[in-house]
Amino acid sequence: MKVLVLVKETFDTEVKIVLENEIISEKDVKYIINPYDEFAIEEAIKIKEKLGGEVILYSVGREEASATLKTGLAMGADQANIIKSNVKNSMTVSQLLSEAINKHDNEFDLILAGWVSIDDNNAQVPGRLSQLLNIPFVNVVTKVDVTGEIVLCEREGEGCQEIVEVRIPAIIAVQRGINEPRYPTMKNIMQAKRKNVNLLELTAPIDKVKVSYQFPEQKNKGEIIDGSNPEQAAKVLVDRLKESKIL
Amino acid sequence: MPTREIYWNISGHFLMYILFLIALGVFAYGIYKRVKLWNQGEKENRSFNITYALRQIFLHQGLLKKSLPGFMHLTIFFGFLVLTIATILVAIQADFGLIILKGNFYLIFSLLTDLAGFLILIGIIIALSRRIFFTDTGLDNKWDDYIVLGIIGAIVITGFIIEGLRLDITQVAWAGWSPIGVLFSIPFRNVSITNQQSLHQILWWIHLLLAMFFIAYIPYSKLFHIIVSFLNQAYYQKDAGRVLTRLDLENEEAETFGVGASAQFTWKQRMDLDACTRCGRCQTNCPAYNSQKPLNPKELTQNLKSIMYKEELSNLPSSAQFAEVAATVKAKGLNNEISEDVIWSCTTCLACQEGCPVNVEHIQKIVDIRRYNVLTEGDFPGELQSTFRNIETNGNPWGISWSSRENWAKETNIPIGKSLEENTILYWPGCFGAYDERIKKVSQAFAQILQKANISFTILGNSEKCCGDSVRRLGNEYLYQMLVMENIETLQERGITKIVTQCPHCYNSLKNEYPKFGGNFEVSHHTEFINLLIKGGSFKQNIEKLATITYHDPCYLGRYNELYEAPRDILRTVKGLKLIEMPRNKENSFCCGAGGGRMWLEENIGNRISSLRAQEAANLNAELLCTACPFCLTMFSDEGEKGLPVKDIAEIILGDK
Repeated sequence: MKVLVLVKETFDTEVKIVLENEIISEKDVKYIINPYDEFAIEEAIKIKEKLGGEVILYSVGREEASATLKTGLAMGADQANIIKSNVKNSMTVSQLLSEAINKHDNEFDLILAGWVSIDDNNAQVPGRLSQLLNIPFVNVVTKVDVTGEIVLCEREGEGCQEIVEVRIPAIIAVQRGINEPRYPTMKNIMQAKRKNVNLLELTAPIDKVKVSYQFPEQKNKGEIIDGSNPEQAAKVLVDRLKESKIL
Repeated sequence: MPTREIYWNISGHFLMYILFLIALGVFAYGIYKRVKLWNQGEKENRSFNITYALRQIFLHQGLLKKSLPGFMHLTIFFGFLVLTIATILVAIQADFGLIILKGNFYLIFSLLTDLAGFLILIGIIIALSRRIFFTDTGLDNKWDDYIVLGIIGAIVITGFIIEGLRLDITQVAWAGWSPIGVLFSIPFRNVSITNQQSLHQILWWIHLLLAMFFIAYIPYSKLFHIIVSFLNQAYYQKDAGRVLTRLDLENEEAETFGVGASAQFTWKQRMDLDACTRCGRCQTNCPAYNSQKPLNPKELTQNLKSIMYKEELSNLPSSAQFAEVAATVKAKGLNNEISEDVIWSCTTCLACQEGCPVNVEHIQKIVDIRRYNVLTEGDFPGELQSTFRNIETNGNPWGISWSSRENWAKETNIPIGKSLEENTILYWPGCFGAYDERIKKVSQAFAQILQKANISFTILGNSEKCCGDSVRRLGNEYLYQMLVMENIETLQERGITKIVTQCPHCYNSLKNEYPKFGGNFEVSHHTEFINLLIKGGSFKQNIEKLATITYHDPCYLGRYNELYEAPRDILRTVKGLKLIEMPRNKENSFCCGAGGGRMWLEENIGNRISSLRAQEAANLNAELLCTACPFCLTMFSDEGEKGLPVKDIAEIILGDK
């Protein structure tokens, strides 16, 4: 079974966001694999351990992401492909992925991905990609069971548990809870050193979307009024409400 | 002239030589088997320090740390030593014709051997009483224990009766020089001379057979400690457990890392297992054992030993059944024999090694098994995954941004990355000192002390990373070595030569472990440093604190680095401060429970280790608990109302407001 995993390199959650000209500065930033994509990698490796085959990581982003993707290789993925691009919008990213997959790995059986990335929270790429590749898509999955051509996917519905049956090839986006990603062993770390991270250079489709970033407006801080003297406190409160034209 | 006829009343004594040869043969074969078994382990370079071993043996330093069992051993040991020398003298006279045993020398010889035998009997009585009547000795009783005591006792008693009978029959004038022998002759005085003679002959042969059995039995019983304890002490390395072995991670051929099967222990570690006599001193002060965790260092050593022997069985070609047992053990590895909870319970506090009178090295073995679990199997308690990842990404166990590491210093105008003048000291606050709200106050207090003493110092700021102590002791040698390499590079690039830490874990790591990776710095702990500042007169404090205080020795400062006096010296300089000791102090200090990476693990089994210690402090008439380690401080602060207020020594000496 050939399983592709879509992996996004994201900022470490502790990074303080600094904007320079409406663009997020990448200075001093530590990168990690998007945690939801890590669940997808773990699930792909589990499928490989059960049924054999290979696991290939696909990522759109910086050339330097190879260092981050090594973690995925050390977990047990067989190779990684980086489509070098600085596009940030989901539409173009999906187009790039679809093009690369069609060109290099169009005989895949399954594509796994995290359902959302923790940086922009768009949750669009897996869905868009399923349209472009014209294959079924199951989203927010917490359990995957592959038997032959059929994959049973469990997902949390509204107050119920849904089980979706899907035929491969398909794309499945996974949710937290599906597994506990493994910590790479020494043997796998050593093997990962010898695994390839390929750099794919594609002619980028014209990026019609311009993305810019702003901080949300600072909310006014709350004020705690001293309540030891209720009469006084009520007066202050009324004053404040008048000041802010609520009264 | 006083002397004695050797082989009096005995015929056919040449049989003795045959028996002796057989005994020696059985003895030698046993030794050969044991040595061969050890050597099936991995290689390890150890130097042979005979002075240390002899000092331990003849001064009983380790053994006398516990007075009653120490005295028990002392009587049997020195009794046996005298009797062995006496036997050799007899042999010289009997077999080489050199008449030594005559005149006054013979009289003294008689008295000394009698006293030696008496001493042994006292020892045997103490030993048996401890085993039968005493509870809470840490002993567990096996047949072997009673057989050994029985043989020794029987050898001495038959010897005394033989002597008594001889003295009674021969009626020599100097019989008084063998007082115990005379005492033993009393019950036989009414027996006829012929019967006395026959009894003498029978007992002589029994005595001889027992002695020969004793020799032959040595390598097959706990008596083997006579030999292996000596070897184990001679091969002892002071830094064992304190400085962990460097694992070769570059080895492309290696299939496994760490120890997953007994044969992956080194020969010394395997010899260690044989050196254990199950005295139980390792568990006396073990925080895991005393808080009802599944780890008991004695039991672990014994289990590892039995696994080693089970593995050995597979080498006996004749015994197919045993081979099967051994093969499963080998295939399953250590992890199936020893529960994970045992391995993860250790706080690496070193109390076991401090207690062990024969220098068994527990810590390295436990870390070796952890290494196997982490590096080879990727199998460890789930909560560690985030600890490891946090340190990988942000260089601290909480995963707080690496770029806010120096924030604590900015708040107090501490020079960061200051250019180095001569004598500039690097202050290494460590992860706790840099990130933890409570411990930041300690860092700030210490920095103020440095400023008051006009010490030129700087910090690495954001380029400092976790020293790696916890991850190393949690078995993640790969991450540890990455951290060490990066830290050493940063320190060397900055041209740092002198470092002062406030955390005993950073201290031990930087001072003792970094040199194995090429990082040689002059490292001191803040207690050492402050003590020198006070003694040198550059830091003057005029505080007066009317309080009774008790000091908790952090394991990595005390047992690991023997820094017991510096912190106490500092506290003694404070006017009005009364220092009182907890029952367990200095080398017997009881761990707070956070070492060995336990800080980052849940404590789900048994009592909380920190509560036990906090209670010990609270039972005193003290108002304040002082320590010198962020791990201990954090653990005891978590006790809240139940414990005493806790402060670091730097805060106390600065005079808290």
